[in-house]
Amino acid sequence: MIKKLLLITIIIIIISFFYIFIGPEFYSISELIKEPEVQNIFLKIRLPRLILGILAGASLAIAGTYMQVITKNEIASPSILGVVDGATLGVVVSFAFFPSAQIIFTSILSIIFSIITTLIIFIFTTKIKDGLSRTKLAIIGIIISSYIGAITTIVALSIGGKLSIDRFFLGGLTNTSLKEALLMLIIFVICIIPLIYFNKYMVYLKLEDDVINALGINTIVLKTSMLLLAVILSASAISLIGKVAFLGLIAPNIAKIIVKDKYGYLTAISATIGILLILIADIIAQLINYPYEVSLTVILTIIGVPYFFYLVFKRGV
Amino acid sequence: MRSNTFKYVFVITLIIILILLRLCIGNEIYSISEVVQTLVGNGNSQETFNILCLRLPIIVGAIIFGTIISLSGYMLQTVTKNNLAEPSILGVTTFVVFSQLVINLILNIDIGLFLNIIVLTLFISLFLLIILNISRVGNMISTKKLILFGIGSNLFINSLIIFIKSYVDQQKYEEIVVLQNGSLDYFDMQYLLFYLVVIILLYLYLFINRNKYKLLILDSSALQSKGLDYNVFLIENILLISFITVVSVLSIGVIILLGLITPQISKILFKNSFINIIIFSPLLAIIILIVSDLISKYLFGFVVPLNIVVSLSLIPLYLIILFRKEIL
Repeated sequence: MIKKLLLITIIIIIISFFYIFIGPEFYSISELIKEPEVQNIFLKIRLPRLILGILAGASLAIAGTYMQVITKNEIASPSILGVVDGATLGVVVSFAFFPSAQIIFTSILSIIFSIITTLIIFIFTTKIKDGLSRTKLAIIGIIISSYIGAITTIVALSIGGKLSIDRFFLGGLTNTSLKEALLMLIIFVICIIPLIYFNKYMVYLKLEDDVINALGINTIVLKTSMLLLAVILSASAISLIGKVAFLGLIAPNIAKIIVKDKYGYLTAISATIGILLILIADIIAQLINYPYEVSLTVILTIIGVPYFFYLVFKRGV
Repeated sequence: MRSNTFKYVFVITLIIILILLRLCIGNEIYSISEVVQTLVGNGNSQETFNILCLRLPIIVGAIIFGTIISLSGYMLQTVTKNNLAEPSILGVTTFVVFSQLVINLILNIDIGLFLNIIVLTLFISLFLLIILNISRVGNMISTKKLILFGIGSNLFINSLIIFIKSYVDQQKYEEIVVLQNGSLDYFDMQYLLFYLVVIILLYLYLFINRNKYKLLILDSSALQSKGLDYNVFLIENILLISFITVVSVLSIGVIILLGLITPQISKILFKNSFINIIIFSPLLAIIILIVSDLISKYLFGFVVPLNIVVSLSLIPLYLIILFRKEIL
């Protein structure tokens, strides 16, 4: 498994190398070495974009992995559990009511709104039999997310069509600043340390709750802590890169195919797949209508929906 | 019977009040007597323009498309024997926008309104048949598969629309946004006769085939013994539903959930009485459209897309229906 992880990491490094050379202008390596202006573009624009892309891709994939393991549901992901729409509402509320707020405040607001939305979805799932089953969770999650999405549109309209909001709705890594990349790095480190600690419990979460409790593990505390960290991680990513869907759904499912029964590696493999997906999707988004950028969400949705259908129809509803 | 009469009297009274209210409220507010004076031809030019040219078409649009949307939803639910089937939920309305975008905006072909409707109807019928076929489990259509397929296709087609939008000019971009947002403001009175003929023929079809719809509670072998070929009837209905959905989306854009909720409420109120449902559902849809139009323009201080207001009011009802009928 270590070999597979290493192989994916090498692919990421190669793609990252090409990634930073892609942009509205192509620069050669010699230009990068010789010209300070080009170096400035790489350091202030392309490198932060790459760092944020890597961290956001890993965060959404890790969050999706934990959500799927906790709910024992292959369809669970930040979009289905309302994190994407909750975080979007948080950002739009921040733009509308606190226009001069710092980016960290916007992220905190996104996290709060995401937690509330996820909580609402979980409350609804408890009201019906087998609420956490694959299809029921998906249907409830998407309906409630649509409702939050409608509220978000109204709040966004109240402040007129601001470019920053439009950009946020489309999702993407355009105009990433070093500050945003650093903020994501800090949140990532804060969340990933306890999540690495929880990783050893991943194997147990395949079992029924009664069995886990009998092993002396408090499932409620464990699952709640894991879910909270997953929501914080994914909401922060969404607050910085915009409304990006499907990454947290696809990456863990591909990772499961790779790791099979070696659950200890699931999070790491899933994170690397998430990074690969976001970088490849962003390269496509930048090149498909060059020199203009297409929305990252559009590219991920076009890739993600057929996979969603595969999960729902081929693997049984 | 008396309680049914009360329901009709209540709803029709409400519609009359809402129509009057809608005629009074706008950028300029008029009293009821001013509205009545204008309606009988005694208003000044400003009042005549505001009431007859701007507000009256909105009401006529709400009546026509409330009827069309609710009937299309009821027909689809009945013919697929599925309580949650509805053109907007299955991604059909989004597919109309996408097809319109491809045919008229991208390929730049002006084939005229009526030929356009026919071409789109064929596309949509095919799309509906594919959805229903994919969602079939044995002889039945699986509700869960149908909803998930609808959710997925809505997301997918919307992404394609966003993708194509980045290639079109500003004017075409705005045309797409209007279709996606839904609005009664773009209802064109010059096609009024066409819409009226469509509604009359639709009711005629429903009335003539009322016994066939009632038989649909039986399984396919029982239907065969009663002389009804289910597949032929299904295709007939799909063509009709596609046609009226295309007409509706091209005229006022996408309005979600209306065709699902109004027949469901009518079914609860009239216990599956076919005639009552096809009369009462449109009345409910008209109320929802007029109220939503007022809210979308005057409640927030800025214009909110009609589709957003309708979805905000109907999503809670949708969840209630899911839970109440234990559909999930």
